Amino acid sequence: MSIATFSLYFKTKPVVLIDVRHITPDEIAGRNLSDVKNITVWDGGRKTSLSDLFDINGPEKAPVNPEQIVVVFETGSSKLCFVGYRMSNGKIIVKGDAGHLVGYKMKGGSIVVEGNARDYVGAKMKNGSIEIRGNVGHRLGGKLLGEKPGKGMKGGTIIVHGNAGSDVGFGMEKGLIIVEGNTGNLTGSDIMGGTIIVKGNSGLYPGVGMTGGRVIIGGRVEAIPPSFYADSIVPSISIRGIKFDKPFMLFLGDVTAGGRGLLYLSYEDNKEQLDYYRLLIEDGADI
Amino acid sequence: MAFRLGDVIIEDTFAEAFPMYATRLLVTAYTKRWAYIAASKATGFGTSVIASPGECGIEAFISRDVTPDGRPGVYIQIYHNDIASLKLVTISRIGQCILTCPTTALFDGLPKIKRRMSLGSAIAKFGDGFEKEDTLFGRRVWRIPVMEGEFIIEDTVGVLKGVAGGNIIILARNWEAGLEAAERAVKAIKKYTKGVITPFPGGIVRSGSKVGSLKYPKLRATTNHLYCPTLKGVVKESKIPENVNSVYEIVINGLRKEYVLKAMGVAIKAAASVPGVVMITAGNYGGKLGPYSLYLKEALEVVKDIEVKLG
Repeated sequence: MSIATFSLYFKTKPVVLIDVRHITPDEIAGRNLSDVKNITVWDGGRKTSLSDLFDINGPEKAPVNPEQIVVVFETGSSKLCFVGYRMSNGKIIVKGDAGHLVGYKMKGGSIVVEGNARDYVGAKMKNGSIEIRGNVGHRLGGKLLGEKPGKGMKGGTIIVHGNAGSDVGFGMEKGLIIVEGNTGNLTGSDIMGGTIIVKGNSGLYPGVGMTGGRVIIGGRVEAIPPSFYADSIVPSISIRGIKFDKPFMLFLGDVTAGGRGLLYLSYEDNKEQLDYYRLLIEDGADI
Repeated sequence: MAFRLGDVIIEDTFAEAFPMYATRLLVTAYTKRWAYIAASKATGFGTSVIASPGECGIEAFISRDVTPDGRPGVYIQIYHNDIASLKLVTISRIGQCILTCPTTALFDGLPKIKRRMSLGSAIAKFGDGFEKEDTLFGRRVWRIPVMEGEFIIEDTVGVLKGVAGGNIIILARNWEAGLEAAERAVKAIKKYTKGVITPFPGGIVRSGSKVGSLKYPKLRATTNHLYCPTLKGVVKESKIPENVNSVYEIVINGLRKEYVLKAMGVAIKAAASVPGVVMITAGNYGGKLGPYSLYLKEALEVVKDIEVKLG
């Protein structure tokens, strides 16, 4: 299987948000290069074509199968929005920063961003994988504002090597989010299923409103949500091939949402907050 | 892999037990009879969480010298998988069965436990605004006006992680001998141990179950076919010896692991004294599912000084 690579270079540095939702392997598949140059790209509110904004290098005729297509944005920009919108196959690489809504409603394939990305990375995605080497903004793998819980990410994998903002996995239903750095407030709020693993610290109230799924915080938490029941201390956990060799305290909740979610908080890192719960769990008093 | 206690073979195996949240309530009433009526109503339909709301049972009668209000009382225990469900089940059982029963009052049965579950304020809403908070007998209580007079309920009760699913399985020559052995075992548990309940009817299970099903994938529990005497010749890996025709199980839930272990020990001793009992064993799933393994050998070691004498 031969791979056809399309490399895109910015002609000028963008000053407004650019909507590149049509530059996906699915749209390019089977087209001639001259045809590809006419793909619609929105420059702010102005409708333009791909060749107005980008220089493009690639084979004369794209393969019919999108699986064989790799789209490379050789120069990244934080104005680059809707990268990989609804893509179902193939690969997109951004060698730099990306903007909002990377992998929005994505159905398959993979996206790699070598710089940072902004809000709503992997929002409402159904399958596939997204890897961000830098940091991301808010609502990683989330739903849009005003939608019901469970309308967020529905499957697939997101790996962020840097930090993430607030509301990681906001309203997600299934899937896996791994953040190797820190996250902001309300990590895993309103989730109904799936797994969120944060290796660093987290902000206020992780897991608020969760009704299912798992949230694992391997570092410090600024505040523990009060609507959870402390269940037990587990000596070590191993989830989806990621091992933590330290004790975690397991909470069940969120009770205010009638939930049965699992919230794991690192015990040693949150000792002063969790000591009280430990007293309740390990009650050795005579009966 | 087995040893003998008198004529009975005791298999060297273990019962697999699970942690479950437990609470203990003290129901008091004007007479012992009314306390028992309230307690037996409140613990009805509480056998196994597979399908019933919580696992409940009556632990013991409490003398009027010990109860806070100086009236005869009964300890009941309620178990559930998580605290949220435990609270719902406890509130509905109290509201329907103890609040309604003549002359009863309800107190906390675990006053030394730090972890608390608040019940009183929820039940007190029945008072429709006429309820009052008060301190009686050194405990914080709610006084709820009812047609008979007043219902007194403690504000919070203790909750702890109990041990559920301790069990012994009695294999006997016929059901008469097996039932007598099982009844004696339950009697011994009631007489010699504290802090445990036997949630099933009369403390005895005649239809022990296994997890899942061989044929119907949606069922959570089905008959333990390895211990069904009628399937002796049908099921290849059947664990029933040739001379066994009836099997009973006794399930024990307790507030602490030691209590369950002791209860298993006295139950084995009592059951082994009945002629016609062939073998005593315990149910487990290979030790993978439950964090507690209660070995029969350990159980007998715990009770080696107790001489089980039943009338």
